[in-house]
Amino acid sequence: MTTTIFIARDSTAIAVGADGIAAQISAQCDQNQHPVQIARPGSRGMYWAEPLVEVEINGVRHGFGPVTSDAVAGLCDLICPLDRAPIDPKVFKQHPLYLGDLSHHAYLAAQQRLLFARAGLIDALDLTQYERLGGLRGLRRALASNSQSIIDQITESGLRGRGGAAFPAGIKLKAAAEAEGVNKYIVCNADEGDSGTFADRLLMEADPFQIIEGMLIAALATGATRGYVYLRSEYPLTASLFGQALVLAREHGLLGPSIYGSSHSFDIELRIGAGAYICGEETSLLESIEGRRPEVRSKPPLPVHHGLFNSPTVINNVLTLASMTSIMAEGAQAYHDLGAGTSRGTQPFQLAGNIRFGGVVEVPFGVSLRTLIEEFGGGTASGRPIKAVQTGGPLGKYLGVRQLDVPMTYEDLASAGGLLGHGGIVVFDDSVDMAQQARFAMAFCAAESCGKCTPCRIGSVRGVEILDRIKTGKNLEKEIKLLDELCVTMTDASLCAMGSMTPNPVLSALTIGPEDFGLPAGSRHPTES
Amino acid sequence: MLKMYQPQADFGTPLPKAGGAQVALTIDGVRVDVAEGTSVMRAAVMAGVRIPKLCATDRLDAYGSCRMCLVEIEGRKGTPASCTTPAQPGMVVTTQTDRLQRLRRNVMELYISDHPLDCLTCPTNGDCELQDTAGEVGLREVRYGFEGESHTRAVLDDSNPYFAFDASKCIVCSRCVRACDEIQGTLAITIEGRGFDAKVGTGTSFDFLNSECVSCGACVDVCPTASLTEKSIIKLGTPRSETTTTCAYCGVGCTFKVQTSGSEVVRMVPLKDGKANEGHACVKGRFAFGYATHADRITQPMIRSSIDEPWKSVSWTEATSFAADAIRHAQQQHGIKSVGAITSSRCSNEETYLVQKLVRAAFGNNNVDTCARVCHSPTGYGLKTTLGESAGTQAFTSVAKADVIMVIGANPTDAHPVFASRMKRRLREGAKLIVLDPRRIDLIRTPHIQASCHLQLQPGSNVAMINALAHVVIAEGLEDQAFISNRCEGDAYARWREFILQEVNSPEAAQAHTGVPADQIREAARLYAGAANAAIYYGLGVTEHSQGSTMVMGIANLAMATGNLGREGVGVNPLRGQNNVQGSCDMGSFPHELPGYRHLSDAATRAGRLSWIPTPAIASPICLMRR
Amino acid sequence: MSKTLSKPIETIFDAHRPLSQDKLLPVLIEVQKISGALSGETINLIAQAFNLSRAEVKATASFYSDFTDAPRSLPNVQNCQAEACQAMGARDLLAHLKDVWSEHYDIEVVYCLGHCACAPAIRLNGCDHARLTVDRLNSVLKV
Repeated sequence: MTTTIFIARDSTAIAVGADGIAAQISAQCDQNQHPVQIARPGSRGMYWAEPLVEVEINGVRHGFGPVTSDAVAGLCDLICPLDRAPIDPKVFKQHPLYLGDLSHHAYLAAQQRLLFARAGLIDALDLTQYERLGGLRGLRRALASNSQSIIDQITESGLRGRGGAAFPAGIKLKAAAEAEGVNKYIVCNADEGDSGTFADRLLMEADPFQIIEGMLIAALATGATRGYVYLRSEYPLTASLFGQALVLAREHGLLGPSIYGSSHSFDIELRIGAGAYICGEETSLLESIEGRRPEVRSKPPLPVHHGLFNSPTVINNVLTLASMTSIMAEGAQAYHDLGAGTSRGTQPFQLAGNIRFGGVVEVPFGVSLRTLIEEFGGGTASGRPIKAVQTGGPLGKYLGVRQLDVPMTYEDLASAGGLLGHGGIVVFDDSVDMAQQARFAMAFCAAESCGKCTPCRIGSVRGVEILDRIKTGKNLEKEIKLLDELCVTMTDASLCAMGSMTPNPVLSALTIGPEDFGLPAGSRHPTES
Repeated sequence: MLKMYQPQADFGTPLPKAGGAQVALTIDGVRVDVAEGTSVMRAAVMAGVRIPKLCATDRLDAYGSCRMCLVEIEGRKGTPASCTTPAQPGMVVTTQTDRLQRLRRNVMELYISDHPLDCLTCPTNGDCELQDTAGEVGLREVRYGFEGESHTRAVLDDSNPYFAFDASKCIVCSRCVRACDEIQGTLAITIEGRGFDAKVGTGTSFDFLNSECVSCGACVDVCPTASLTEKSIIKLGTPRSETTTTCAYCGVGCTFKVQTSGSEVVRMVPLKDGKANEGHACVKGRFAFGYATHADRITQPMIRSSIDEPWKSVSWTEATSFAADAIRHAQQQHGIKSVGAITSSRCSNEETYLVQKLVRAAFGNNNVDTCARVCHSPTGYGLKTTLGESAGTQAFTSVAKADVIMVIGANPTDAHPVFASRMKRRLREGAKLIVLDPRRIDLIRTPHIQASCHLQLQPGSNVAMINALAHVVIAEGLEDQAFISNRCEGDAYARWREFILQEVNSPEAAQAHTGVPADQIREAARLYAGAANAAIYYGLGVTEHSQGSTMVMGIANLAMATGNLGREGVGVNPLRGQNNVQGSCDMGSFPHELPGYRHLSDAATRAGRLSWIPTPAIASPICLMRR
Repeated sequence: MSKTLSKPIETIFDAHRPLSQDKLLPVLIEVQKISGALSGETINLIAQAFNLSRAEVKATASFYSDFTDAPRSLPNVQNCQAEACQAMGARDLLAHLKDVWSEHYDIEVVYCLGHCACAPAIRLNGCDHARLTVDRLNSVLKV
């Protein structure tokens, strides 16, 4: 009997050697004359375990990871023994990399996966497998209902935009549905530029049909006939996989002039960026699709009224649109039952940076940051104490160790001074120099500013210079005062979040690590940031 | 009239498109009613409140980049930019608070941290929006110092003969870029790079001179600093006085402020209130004013008795009596008809009127003519005959409502650039373009504009072409029946219809004369006739032909047959060569027409007060021919 | 424009016709890929084909960091310097790259390759390597 071995075809898994491991195992199996089939699904998002090798025996997937090149020979003795000797899962546990039956692995079992329910389990490009594990149920229900009831479902679910702004998704759909326009567009923002975030990429590689289905639901709700997915150029494998998924969707009648035989027409074009963080800002993204300089537009008008090609446009993050599938499949109530406060449903948190068990952890809102970092993440990778955690990407604040008990909801995090953003969590141990991080925040803004508005264009450069002068220790009080003043200016006067939120990491770094700026410890009160 | 130099008023953002309701709001306690779509910034100016600004000007769409015009609005978070925030009913706006003052001063401080501190030696010292605004917001120090990264060492681009680009003084407000785009439509300059490296650039060219720039100067006009400055200003300083006048070049007739220091012209600034140009100019009008003080210019009367003699400067008295004697002498020797005069379309109405009066009253004949004889007399004759008036049917603003524009025998981007910019704006908005011209004029394909039809006809085949177009309209039933029955003469139309339907006027027949395939002619005719608003613009390629008048009448007939007359966006529009072709014709410069196009043979006219009119017996040959 | 370059660019144009402005970025990406750069001459060609001004195309092309105006002479190493990689020693990695490898590689700083759970990461000629240490980096670059 042929043994199936699963090794993720996923950008990060490959970056840590998954392709090499797959080739090595394949060669070793040939040598052992053990018939195996190597399947390449997406990753489960347990990146700490990648390259993760899964062996399916009697329907149970046994995991080994992270598998190194040196470990392949020994591993093959267990999973594809010489001369078709029987595989004995009982001996697996002796192997140092054995992770057990993955469906019961604590890292996954403790999650409540809606978006990532299928990730790693199915062949990303197999629509039949997608459907078998619950895919397309939401779309079918949407096709059987009408625009208003789809909008009602999404509104009642409490779904909010996952890209960072957390705008209620139902209200946006409603506004687009009501807006006047011959053409309407659904734009999926996959320009996932925040450091510490990779959920969009993972989902597009592991379960691309879910995003297509989500966009179709949004299209049915609004009457849009055309969609764009804007993906950053840093993700070439994602582009290739998602592009193939679009072709398959068209072949299966999921996209095209008549969605599953209905009177609705919708198609999606995949657009690739060319290296610009600002294109994650929605209006800049629209300019980029239109082929102009992707400078941020002033609002009003809002994209929902005058968006892409001046037409009503729903622009949402990958996860927002994908969430619409399970809301439509299971009903608004089931989704609304999850979460806390006005943060409903689940959020895929992404554990990154100096963390032992980095990866995607999808749980309902309300989990504490400490639970995520300590229980899922296992603390720092270095084993040293945590000094700072940046949530919500490069424009998010640094939280100190005293703030780790904050429940992860939009409101709680905001009142703790933090930002949930796209759910990225970057952990730093006590070797971090907060002054260096503050300088980086300004330098990043300087590198990625579109250059349209002055506070961001010039302010970020001056910010770097002030922080360089602070490092010299001269005129410290005066320079800190000037930094505060600059931050007020950037916050209040910038055109978009790039300039107005860059002060978040800068000032919070000052609060957490004043000593790194040459100030006495505890000299900055959190309210100052 | 000479006045003190005064920069033109600026409302910050353009007038919103008409048609909206009125909105009442309060700005700094002043209630103001504005049209829907008006920005808070513009509303503030209307309420007498000036909000500091740098990237905004009422010549360009709101942009929102400089962040100087921040305001506070009751019930709204933060400090929105007043230029990009539309006024809404009941809005309560505050433009001056400690917070706003601080933000504006801080933003200005950032600007100045990347700006040379050479105001006293700067060419636009005293005439600089950056300088004024720094004063308004009370900037007193730059706490960042001047040691940081900056553009102050950027190299000067003085390649253009008329203006210099000093990137060190640029604040990247994008006004120049937007002017090149929105006003001029050439899109020759842009912002390149991003973030702090974003700078004004000329595309793939190293400098302005080698770029796509046509030197219209719109960028220089809107620049709020000394970054783009006229070389004349750099050389001569800012103007002290100004006089409003009409441009001496083409038939667009742009209104300018001639800005002067003493008797020297230092700058020509197009007037925003100018009906023809609305603040725009072309390279000629704006920069080519050297003739005003050119050494070759005749500034005093000169006479000579014969062609081999040198010119002699004399007093006005001597000159006039010399001329009068010579004229009288010629008439005595060779008869009363032996002298005459030619007027110029560059002259004012008053001058032209007086010349024709001189000829008719003093010379006692009708031997007066004008240079319009060789350019647009077919327009005068053709349009008078068909439409009843010797004039085009539209104002220049009309083109903004045209859906199909047909350009015949004209090259507006070269010959009428300021009007061409209007036309291009409309074409970029999506109006379709039909060009009838043997030449591949620029309009046929230029950034964002692509002619739908270019009927590249053989020179001399205009009438065949226009009749073929009309043939398609009638043969395919594309005419406007309602317009024809309400507005045209029934008998004349019936005869014309019968004529135009003759096979000789079919596109297939015309193909032989024009060299244009019949299907292209059909396509163009359908496009023109099918438009809600179709407008024809034509130039000397129509009139400077032996069949010019016939062609003008053909054009008018086509417009009438399709109902494209009598409202905005349509019409028959001659593009005149000189700035007062219309006036010189209006004033009676043609021998057979008295001022106001009254025919010489008209007894009623002659019976009036114009006792100086010569009798018909000695009227011009043209008049006799018509009889 | 040399014939050898304009032919493949024409092929790219053909694949995207009609060349409306929204096709500009995809075309720029493909031209950069085959030509290794977007030279002034190439931009003029693209502007002509799209009926855009040369300045407009330059404006768009110069915004994105993926585009270069001249081909790179050395193999490209993109070194991620975003926060997740910083937390795992990316700054030391960059210092090492500059000290040891700058003669052999064109070293480019980028922000986020998406391997934040396995930081730090680099991209070498389009191939990603994550969970790097100085030793692993050396072995990757030696190949």
